[in-house]
Amino acid sequence: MDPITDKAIIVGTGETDYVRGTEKNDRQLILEAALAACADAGIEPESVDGVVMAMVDVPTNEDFVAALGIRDLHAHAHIHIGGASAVAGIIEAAAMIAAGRAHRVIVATGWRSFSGVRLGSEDATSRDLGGPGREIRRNIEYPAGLMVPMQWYSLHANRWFYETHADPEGMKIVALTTREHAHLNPKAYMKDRPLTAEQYDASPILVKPFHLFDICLETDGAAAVLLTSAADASLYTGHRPVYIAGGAEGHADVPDDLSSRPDILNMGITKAAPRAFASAGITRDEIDFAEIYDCFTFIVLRQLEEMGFCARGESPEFVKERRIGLGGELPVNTHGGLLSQAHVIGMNHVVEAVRQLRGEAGAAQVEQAHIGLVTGYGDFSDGSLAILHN
Amino acid sequence: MPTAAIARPLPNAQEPLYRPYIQGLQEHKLMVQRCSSCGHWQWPPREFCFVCHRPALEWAEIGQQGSIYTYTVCYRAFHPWFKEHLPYGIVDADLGQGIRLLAPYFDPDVERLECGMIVRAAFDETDGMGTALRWTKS
Repeated sequence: MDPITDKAIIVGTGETDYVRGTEKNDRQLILEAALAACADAGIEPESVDGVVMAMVDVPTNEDFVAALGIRDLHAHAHIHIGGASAVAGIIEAAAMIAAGRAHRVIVATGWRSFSGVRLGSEDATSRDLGGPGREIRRNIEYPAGLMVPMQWYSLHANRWFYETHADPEGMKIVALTTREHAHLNPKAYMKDRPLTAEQYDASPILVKPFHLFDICLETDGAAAVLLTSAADASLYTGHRPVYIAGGAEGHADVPDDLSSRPDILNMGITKAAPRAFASAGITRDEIDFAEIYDCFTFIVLRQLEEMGFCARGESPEFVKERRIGLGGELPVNTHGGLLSQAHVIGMNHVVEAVRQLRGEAGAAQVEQAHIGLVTGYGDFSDGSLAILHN
Repeated sequence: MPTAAIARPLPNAQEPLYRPYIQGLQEHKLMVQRCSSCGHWQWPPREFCFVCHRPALEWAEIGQQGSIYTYTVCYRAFHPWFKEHLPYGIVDADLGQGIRLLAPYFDPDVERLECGMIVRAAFDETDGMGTALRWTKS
């Protein structure tokens, strides 16, 4: 337990459509999601008094004031740990509420990873870099031919295989399982597209060891949640309130550079997970489902290991026998994730966790879902973990 | 090898933190930081020593042979110059003193790369644009 435990609840969620191709810019998409979260909660957007922007600098806090008509913004923050920012942002918002700095806090993010920044493009150095360590990228990595996340994380993957002799089949199982989950999700970009083992095996290896289907989608969209004080739970009658039991962010050693990290298998979530479980007063075996940041199938496997669900190298065994499928011991990415629903920088994982705990997940509903876990993973292995319950 | 139209990415000579490294490459030496206060070897270069926190970093030469800590093999390129060299490897070589240097690998046996293999530095001149580091077994 810690001072934020059960002080904040999520009472609203908002998502844009998840598409490839839009006339809207990032700012409009994110603000649209924020307004939708306010509507879902049944509150006036003017009454929002806290904003946490996950990963993005735009919308600015001023943009939120303008679009929502915010009367008096008490607190704001920008979280800058890549894909770990959404979950870290939830914890930040919960802390604002627990400290009494703000009462109704929006946490939002989104992007046009299809229509805008394309992380798989043929000239990745021509666009403005986000993220840390720009001099390292330009002066060490570009001359080495290292430009994009699939290459960065392949360095981690190849060392992991060397040290642990892990079974590469684990990556395929994550891809196939989460695609099946996407078929049950009305917003999933891949909801109507099957993925067979044969198609996975036949798909090209882009960068060793990653097949095409080991890599997340590029889509346009945004998502947001609204948090408020748990003391007000009875005022929100539209949905079951979802409590934030606890969580943490964690930074890998040498967080801006993989190639010099003494142990490249070290991750932010390695440090965050014990803190998060202690913060929530929950143990791993109480978790009913896990929405795990899945920019790559490999990264899901590694987070399972670094959170302690299994030892390093054993995650392929862990995900076999349908353990991570709906109906299994630990359903993972019940919405299809970044791999098969959409890439909304992990905020869609938060929304899915809320949907499960509200009992509104329809065909993808985890039976008697009571406690769920959401992770974030970003930049060069920064991590975050939040534990929610109903 | 590089065409006239597409320049190979090189370290930026205008970046003060990397000038000694770039100068070293031109002299076919691998130069990295070493703290004059506590002796810590440091790479990538920064303003402060990670261990003693003093802005006391100077530059020292490190050995040119190391073992592969990790690597990758690229079948897709994300820059037009590298597109002409597919498939190519990227090797992160351990040179001792806690130093690892990253550079591309263009030997024809790229698909047989493994952690633990020994590599040595090679220096490629690029039409007067600067000197590029490469790891090689040959």
